[in-house]
Amino acid sequence: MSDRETFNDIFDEDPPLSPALASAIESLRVDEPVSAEWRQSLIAGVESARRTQRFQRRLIGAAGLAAAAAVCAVLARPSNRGVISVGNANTVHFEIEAPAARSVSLVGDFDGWNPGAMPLRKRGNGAWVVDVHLPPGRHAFAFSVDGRLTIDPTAALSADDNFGVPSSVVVVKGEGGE
Amino acid sequence: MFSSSTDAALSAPAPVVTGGTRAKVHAVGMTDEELVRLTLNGDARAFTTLVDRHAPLCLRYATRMLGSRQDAEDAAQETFIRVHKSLSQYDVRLPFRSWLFTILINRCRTTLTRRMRRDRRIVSDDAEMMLASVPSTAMATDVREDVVRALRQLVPEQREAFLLRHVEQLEYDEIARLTGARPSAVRMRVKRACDRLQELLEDGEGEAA
Repeated sequence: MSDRETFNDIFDEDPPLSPALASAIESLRVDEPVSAEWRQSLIAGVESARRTQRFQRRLIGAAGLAAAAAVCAVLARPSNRGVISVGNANTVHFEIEAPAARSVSLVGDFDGWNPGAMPLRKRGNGAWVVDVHLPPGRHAFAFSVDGRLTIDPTAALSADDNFGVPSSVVVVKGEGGE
Repeated sequence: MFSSSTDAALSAPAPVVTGGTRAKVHAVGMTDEELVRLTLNGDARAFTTLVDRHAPLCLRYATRMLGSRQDAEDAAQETFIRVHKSLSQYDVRLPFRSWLFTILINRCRTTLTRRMRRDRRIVSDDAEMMLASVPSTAMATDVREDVVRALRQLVPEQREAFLLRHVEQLEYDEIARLTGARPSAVRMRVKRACDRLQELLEDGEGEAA
């Protein structure tokens, strides 16, 4: 018999259950206990997600700047303009020093300011790095350190994005760029 | 169908928290929809109340469906985080619990899919692993042990339909809406599940691999 057959025509209601199965079902209806640890972990996870959402909406401003002051961010390669390092094929090297951070990602107008799009890799010295291919031009960016926006304090160039939030700027030179 | 949000709010069991203090309830009698609105307005405690209200049921379904407390906790946690993330998309005209379960069912399916892929790569005694993964507190009686073992022998679609019908006590139309299956298919799955479970329980073969 196929699942596609219309069982409404065969059973108006559930067929009777054996006493053993009825008893088993009753035992399955008992609620599962919720451990305090699980609950705490869940609430922390929700709070982290909430912060990320706020970040995605660019509702950051002062909190992000405060985080920026708390995290010592340096560029791995010499440039005080935030033009970090452009290698072959416009690969840009981003690096930030945040030894206490649990997660760091790169966000910018090139990835829709999505905190999950470009995670950085942690090195043994507490620096987080990522290499990204960017087209020539000016790109606003920031780091998301544990869900908090952190601009690059060493970048001389900064600009307001569409939401009035300051961000660092990386300039990739090349044809079609600046 | 799931009870209305008001009914759910009034009849929802008090949260049971082990290893710590009893969870605080945000506001007794407040509907799920009111808590959603408060959450969207920035009241973090309102969402905590939603968690406390629905977590026991989510963990019950996920534990029965996945046969593993650890996997169930992960699936339920992912569910609540996704719910929170998508809360602005929630249509308050629908019962919150229905929406929650739609996401939970999908998370459980994803977990099962991952497990199938993992099990293809890792040779293990599946029956022993499953038994080891369920804490003794979840198997307080011999009856429950037997039916938990028997449940594992059902195909996931039948186990899912059976649990939603007989444990969560949903109407067939509601199950069909939540699972994306036709009502007739849901009825068939439930019947086959019941037939199989009755065979296993009456023959005492629930513990057979």
